[in-house]
Amino acid sequence: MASEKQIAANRANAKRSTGPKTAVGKSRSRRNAFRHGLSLGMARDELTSRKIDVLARALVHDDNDGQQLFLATSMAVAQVNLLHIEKTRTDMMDALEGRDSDSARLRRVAALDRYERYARTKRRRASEQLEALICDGSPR
Amino acid sequence: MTKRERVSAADPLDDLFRKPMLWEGESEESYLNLLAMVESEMSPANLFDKIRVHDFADKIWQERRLKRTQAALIGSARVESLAGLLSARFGDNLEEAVETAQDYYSGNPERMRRTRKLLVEMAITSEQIEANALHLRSAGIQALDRMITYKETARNALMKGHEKRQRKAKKAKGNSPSTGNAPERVIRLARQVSRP
Repeated sequence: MASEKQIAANRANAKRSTGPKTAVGKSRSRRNAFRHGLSLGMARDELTSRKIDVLARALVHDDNDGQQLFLATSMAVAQVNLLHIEKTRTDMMDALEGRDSDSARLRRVAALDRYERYARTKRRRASEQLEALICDGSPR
Repeated sequence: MTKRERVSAADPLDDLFRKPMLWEGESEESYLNLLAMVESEMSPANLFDKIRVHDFADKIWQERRLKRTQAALIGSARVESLAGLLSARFGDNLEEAVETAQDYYSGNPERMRRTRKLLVEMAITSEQIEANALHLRSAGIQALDRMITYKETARNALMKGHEKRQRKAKKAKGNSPSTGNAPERVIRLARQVSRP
């Protein structure tokens, strides 16, 4: 347990260093823990939205069926997300070139499997429901 | 517009499927050959099947790629590994140990012969070099092992799903004569191409 003197010294030290002060410093430290941004969900720019829309409409039988379109969009989002994960993985492996002993980086690449598994499960569920809806007229 | 027309007319989809994410040094042609092989075995009937074909080909491709990376990772540690084993002879002179180890893998017969003689003297075997290299890269190898296991598991899950759908389709057709045993052929194909 810290003594009264140590506690007072800790408080005095903390007052002297209270993190970044400038806007640039704050913005830099905000991204300290940023790795690849995959846990934030996918950014929907115009091109990504168009890809999702094209794929979703190709998957449904009837564009006017809201339920089909909803499931197809979920499936398309997961599919585009999977491509994004694969691109992140490729970029990370390219950055590893010549540093093949960097096991910490390799472990980070391996950690991407978690995001892939999640996106794959989402796509599989949407796909099963959509296929059942198209074949039998009712989702599973 | 029928389903088939809709799919074939949707060219922008190619962007979502046809472009493989290749690592440096990988051949696009080899990937497309593998894809064509899987496609001919699984005979996709619709876009859902097309996605599965790509998934399956990707998993096989990624598995092979990770196995290659693992082998390269061990290979990259051989000089370091041998230098470490030779340090018993060279003591603090690490540079000389590294140079001697480099000689062993130089491809120059004379330099290799000299080092080989030293290895015999010191009773250093190639198994010891491999084992030490594995030890030096163990963290990276473990990470790659995890990735390979995940790819294998995902591939097996895809296969199971494919078999399930085939059984269901067969049942729906009322046990009409089969056109072939696609799942078995695809499993065989996976085994054949997933060899490192």
